[in-house]
Amino acid sequence: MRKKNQLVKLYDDFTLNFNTGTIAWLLHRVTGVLLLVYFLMHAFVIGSAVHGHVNFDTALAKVQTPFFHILEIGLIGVIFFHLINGVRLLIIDLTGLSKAHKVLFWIFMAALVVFMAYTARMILTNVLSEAGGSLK
Amino acid sequence: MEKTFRILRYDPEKDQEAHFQDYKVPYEKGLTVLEGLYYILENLDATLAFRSSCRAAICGSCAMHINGQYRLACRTQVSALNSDLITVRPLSHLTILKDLVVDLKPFFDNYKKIEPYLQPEKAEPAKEFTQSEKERGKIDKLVDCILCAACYGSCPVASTNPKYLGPQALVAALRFINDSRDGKTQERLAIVANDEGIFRCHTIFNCQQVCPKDIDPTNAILKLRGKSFMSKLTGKI
Repeated sequence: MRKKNQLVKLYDDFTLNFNTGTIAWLLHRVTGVLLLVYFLMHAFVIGSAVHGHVNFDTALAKVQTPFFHILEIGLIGVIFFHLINGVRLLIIDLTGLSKAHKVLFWIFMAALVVFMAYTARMILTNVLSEAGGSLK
Repeated sequence: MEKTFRILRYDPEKDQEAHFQDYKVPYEKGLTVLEGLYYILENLDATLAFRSSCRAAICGSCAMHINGQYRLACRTQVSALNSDLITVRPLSHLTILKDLVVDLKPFFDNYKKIEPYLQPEKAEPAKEFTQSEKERGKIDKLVDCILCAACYGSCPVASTNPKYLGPQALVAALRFINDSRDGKTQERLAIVANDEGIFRCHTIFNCQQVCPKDIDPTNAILKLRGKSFMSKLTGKI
């Protein structure tokens, strides 16, 4: 039988064990990679300051657009998920509450939804007010 | 009433790839997945290969992936699956020898690494080692493991690194560490406290989800982490 590559194996594992633990683990991995991509972009923008303030202002202006502000909603979601899932694993690791992992997952997901609704409203309000519109 | 058994088939002498094959099995109250497989073997297709022995969830031979989860075929009631379609696959992360039979060698090789036998330090008593009720309580759930490998099949980490000891071997390590008759606690911790042991676990909880004996391997790994941390801190390992 043909050998499966690692990505196919991971996909199989995900579909054959579709439960909260697998979902949380996979999302933690994906958000981790996305954060790495963001930090590289962030370092590039901030790093432009070493070539003088004009360069820095130019680089900053490129990401201070409504498009990037809306992307920031996703960025905050990625950071918040990675953060609270990490806290969830720490709580379980330090307290041994392994049987409570599903309850903790759903409590933290509810917190994520509330936090993201607030964040999205705040950012969209700012973006719209800059464009001369309003959420109301 | 009939149920459709969709089984992953693979014959290394004939097939290039594994494929699903459907069988119609008459349903009657109390039918288990294993009985369904025996019905197919005896009445529909004598070439079907699967492992089983005790039919009572004691031997651990018939672990397989059934409708979304790794389970023991012998204790899985078809009625409990609430479906007319029963999809059966072999355990993952192990080479398929034929149909639902996998090569368990990597699983048992990992098990052997933790030296799964009592190694007392005290001189052997004339009759037997005695244990108090409290001492026995410390290994109560851990000794229930039947080595079915459902946890190993469900663990994505076992897929990425075959040298990873896996949930079962780590449960067994804690079982001997907790045993009052065993005297090799620090040596056992040294075997598991590395990146192919307890520190490779990503706390995914699949092992806990699938264990047919309701053992909590994730919790065993967390306990081993705590114990190895204290041993490192005090310079014992």
